[in-house]
Amino acid sequence: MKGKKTLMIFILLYIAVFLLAFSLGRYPITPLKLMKILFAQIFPIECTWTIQEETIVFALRIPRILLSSFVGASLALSGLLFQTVFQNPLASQDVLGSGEASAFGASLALLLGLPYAMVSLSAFLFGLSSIAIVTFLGRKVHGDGKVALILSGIMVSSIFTSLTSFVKLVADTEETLPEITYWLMGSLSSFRENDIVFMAFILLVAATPVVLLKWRLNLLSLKEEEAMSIGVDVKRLKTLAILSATLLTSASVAVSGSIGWVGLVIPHFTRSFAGYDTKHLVPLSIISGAAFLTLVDTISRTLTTTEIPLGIITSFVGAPFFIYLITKSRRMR
Amino acid sequence: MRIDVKDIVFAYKEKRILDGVSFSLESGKSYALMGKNGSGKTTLFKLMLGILEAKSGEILADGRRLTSPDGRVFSYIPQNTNTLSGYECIDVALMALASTLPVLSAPDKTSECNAKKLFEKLGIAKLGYERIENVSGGERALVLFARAILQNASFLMLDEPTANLDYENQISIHEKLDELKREDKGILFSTHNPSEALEFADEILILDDRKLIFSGGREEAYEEKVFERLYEGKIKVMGLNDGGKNRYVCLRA
Repeated sequence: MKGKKTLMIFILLYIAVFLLAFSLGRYPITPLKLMKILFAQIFPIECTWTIQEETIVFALRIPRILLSSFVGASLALSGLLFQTVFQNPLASQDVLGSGEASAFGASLALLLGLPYAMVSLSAFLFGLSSIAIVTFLGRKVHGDGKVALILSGIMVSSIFTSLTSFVKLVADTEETLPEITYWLMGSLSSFRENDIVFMAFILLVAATPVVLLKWRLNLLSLKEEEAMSIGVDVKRLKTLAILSATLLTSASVAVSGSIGWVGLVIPHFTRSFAGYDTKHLVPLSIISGAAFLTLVDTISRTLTTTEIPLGIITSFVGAPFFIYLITKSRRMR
Repeated sequence: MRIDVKDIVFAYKEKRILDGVSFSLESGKSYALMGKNGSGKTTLFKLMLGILEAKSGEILADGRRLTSPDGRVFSYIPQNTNTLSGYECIDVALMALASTLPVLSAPDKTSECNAKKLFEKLGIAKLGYERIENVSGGERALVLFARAILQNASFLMLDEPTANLDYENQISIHEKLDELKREDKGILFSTHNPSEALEFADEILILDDRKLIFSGGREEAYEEKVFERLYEGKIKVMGLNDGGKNRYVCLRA
């Protein structure tokens, strides 16, 4: 199954998750009531809901669903881009260390009490530097390039994890440490309005060229020499994909903390429906990433009385999927 | 179109691989490139494609110096066809259009239809929606052959195109190459089989010891005993008269 039909199914799936996110929680809003509240902004509809419900829709649910959608879409798309560029099904921001590096960059900025914009910039720069280090080391290691890349990623990830631990060690235990610790587990509970605008802007800037070039991204699956033999120089395409993926990852980390596994799991999930053609995978990964994280966020705020950090839930889903991938590794050439 | 390879020198680190190689190719003709293992055949292909950069010398297409890969001049089928995995064969073939389509475009239904027709013509219609890693080496070679044809370049370069194919498919590939030749495409293929070169190429190019030691027609190659010299007398080429047509067979000496 591929093409428009799959896209339509995924869009319907996202709409279902969107409505579910309103229907669950401490203050459930039914889909019908939601429609009435939304349409009342344009058409004169008799008010059958409370002011409190309207406030929940516009001040709490919509912003949060938008943010979880943007972050989920960003993480899934960047995972797809990393897997495509490095021709490695195990590549993702977590495995390549860019997630950990961005997390370190952001926690360092938090420790130093830097302004909000600097937290994002620091996350981006450290994320980018980790990709550069991993790529460099991956080329230096002899043998299987795919394994070398993963080993380099594990090493870089480990270094940045240690650095983050050091930041936590020296952080003020009363204020900064709890902030960093909770934020590192990944959460959307304490978002600001600026976060939504920021994520929307980053998604627009980083994802637009990727969406426009979605078919051409297939060329990144070819060896560089083979692509050149078709008459295409893929260096610029590769650079664009890496920059977009890093920007999406670091912005997500800056806004929501460290949320693992989405970038690894979602591209594989979409591949099982639509094959390897990036023309289909790019939009499907964006939509399914958005739906997945919105669903996870809904579970996180409804399952228990206190919100469960998102990273915990994504790990519960991601880790078994990772094992499934390893056991099916014959398919992952 | 005319390709002029002029005085190409290429070295890997300190080791010279090609030393002053010059020859010309014309569209509408087929050329066989021969030479022992490691004689620089694949290197020469990569230099012509712009994948490698020569230390000195130049490659001209109708007098224009080629400095970067140009998909309109050359299409190429590599020796190693075990390339990517996960893609359906038709999608692999359609990748050829990347060199001609506008940057933001993707192949449309018409392109897919044309690719399907080409697959039918090559006898691989059933492979269209098979994953490339699930087909045999010979079938993969045919899919990459389809990709090279779809690219519609003036010259088609094939690195040992028949190495993984059964005899029927070898003949089939050469029949398709003859068809392309009639459409005024130029063909340059490498081979280790003198019989294949003598049977299918209009001209033969032989690399040995970093230099081009022979460039000419098959009769000339036969008369000058170039293969006997290349393989130090271990083989002999015999001429046959097949209904008035000169043909050649290569045998162990």
